[in-house]
Amino acid sequence: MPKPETITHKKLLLAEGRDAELFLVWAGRHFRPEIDFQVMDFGGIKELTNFLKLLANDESYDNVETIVVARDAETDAKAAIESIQNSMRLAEIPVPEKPFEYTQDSSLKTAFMIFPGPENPSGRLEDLCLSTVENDPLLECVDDYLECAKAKGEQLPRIHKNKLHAFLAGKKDYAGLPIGLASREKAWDFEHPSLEPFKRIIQEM
Amino acid sequence: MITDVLIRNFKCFKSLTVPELGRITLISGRNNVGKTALLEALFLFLDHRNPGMALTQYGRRGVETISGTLEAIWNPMFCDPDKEILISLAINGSHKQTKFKFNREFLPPSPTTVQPEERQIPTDEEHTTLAVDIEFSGKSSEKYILHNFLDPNNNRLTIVSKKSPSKISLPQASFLASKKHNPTNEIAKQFSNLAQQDRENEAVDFCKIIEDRLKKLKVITEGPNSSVHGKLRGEPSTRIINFMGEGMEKLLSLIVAIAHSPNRIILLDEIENGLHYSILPKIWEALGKALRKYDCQLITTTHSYECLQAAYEGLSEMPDDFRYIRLNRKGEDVSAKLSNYEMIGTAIKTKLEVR
Repeated sequence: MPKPETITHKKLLLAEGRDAELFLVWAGRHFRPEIDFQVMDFGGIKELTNFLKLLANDESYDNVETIVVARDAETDAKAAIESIQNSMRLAEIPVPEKPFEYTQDSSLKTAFMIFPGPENPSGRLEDLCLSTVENDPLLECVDDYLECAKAKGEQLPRIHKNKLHAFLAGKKDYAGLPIGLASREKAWDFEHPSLEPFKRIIQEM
Repeated sequence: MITDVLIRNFKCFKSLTVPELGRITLISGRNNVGKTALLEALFLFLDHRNPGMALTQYGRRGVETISGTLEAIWNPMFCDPDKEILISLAINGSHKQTKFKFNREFLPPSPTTVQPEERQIPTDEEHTTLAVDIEFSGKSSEKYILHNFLDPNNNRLTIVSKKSPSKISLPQASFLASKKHNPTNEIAKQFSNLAQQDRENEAVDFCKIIEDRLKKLKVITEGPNSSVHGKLRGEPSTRIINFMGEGMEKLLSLIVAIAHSPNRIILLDEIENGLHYSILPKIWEALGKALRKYDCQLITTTHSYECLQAAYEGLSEMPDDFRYIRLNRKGEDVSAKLSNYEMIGTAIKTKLEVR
């Protein structure tokens, strides 16, 4: 059994799922090379409240200075924001009024980030990743391929995933990699303007 | 059922509050944080009319004798011997507390019968001695003070009281230690109670979780010693249960403690000891059902993540009955952190350390 994870840093970045966790590990290292933060997977959004409460039970929790939560907007960014705020409220930690904004009380500073970014009413981490490679000519081939697949009768309810993996499949170094490992292999442009709000929050941790 | 606990000045606890205990409460924390001490505080409260309460407790830790004065016997119980120990519990919604403190001017009662050669020379002075005063209070009328002291006539621990405490009832409790085998006579006695009610198969079924060849359990008495023996399918004769392995002995001790009298509080140190991880979910499931059936409460400790995972799996039908307490130490202070069943599910899913 892998060793269960405990709090090791004063700055915590909490991600929804393994892919988001690894994405933030590598994006975070790029934005904050001193690597003085810890990225943790809080499971699914239904687990966030419990996860935050469990963190408070950790013997090192008193040392924690900053908590940043990141999740997908999915189909409704407004609902995603309310859901995070509700979890923070139930866990009795400071609740920011807006995403990509810090708030704090006497001992803890908190923020939350919504993928793919502050201006998007819906979307996911995959959309953010693809936005960083928007000028890559391979995307034309990806669009053509998925249009062709649809024309052949394929149902693609999670088109964001199809698009991302089709893009990675067309690259020599990234074929077959999940989004998190592709992040490690620098498949995404971490300096792209679409990552600017995330960069700012991580640098201000 | 104990639901809330406040302990002050007991062993490693300057002050410890433990809220919202459940029918099944699993306690964890690092070595030497006070998991066993918490069980001992609860048992001391429930056992405070037993003259040998302190020595009984040390015996479970493998310290069979402490020679010398009452101070030597009682000092290890105190965080600061100059202050009183307070153990306050909410039991079935009613708050009760017991205080323990040294009384250096205790005047022991005169012996009612004194042999001529032991008769003391009469003097005008009153001979005081050291005692531990145990002050119990519950509802307004539920109050008494006991004095635990070494009787100078026989050097045995004795308890005296001006007011009889017998009318005030407290839950029965069993303490199952991790390092010590539970007395075979006691297990045999409790098992006999079950057998007299024709319920010995409840114990057999429980022990079958470990040993599916077990056909029968029975008490065999030889001289002053009684012990429970088990008969395995295919074996010609019975074997004493202790020789069937630590796990069998542990399961039998547990089930007889639960089943032989209802409304009991079972305090069990290191539940996973002697038990293979693969059967732990079944044990938790069976334990949960037995505890509900007999309206008993289990408060137990663990170091094992597998044990915690097994509890989550085995108690899926009774999530509201489960509580998990992690004891954390910061400097000299120990605090209790509570998790419910759902939180433990999240911890397991996200592989978060909660021990």
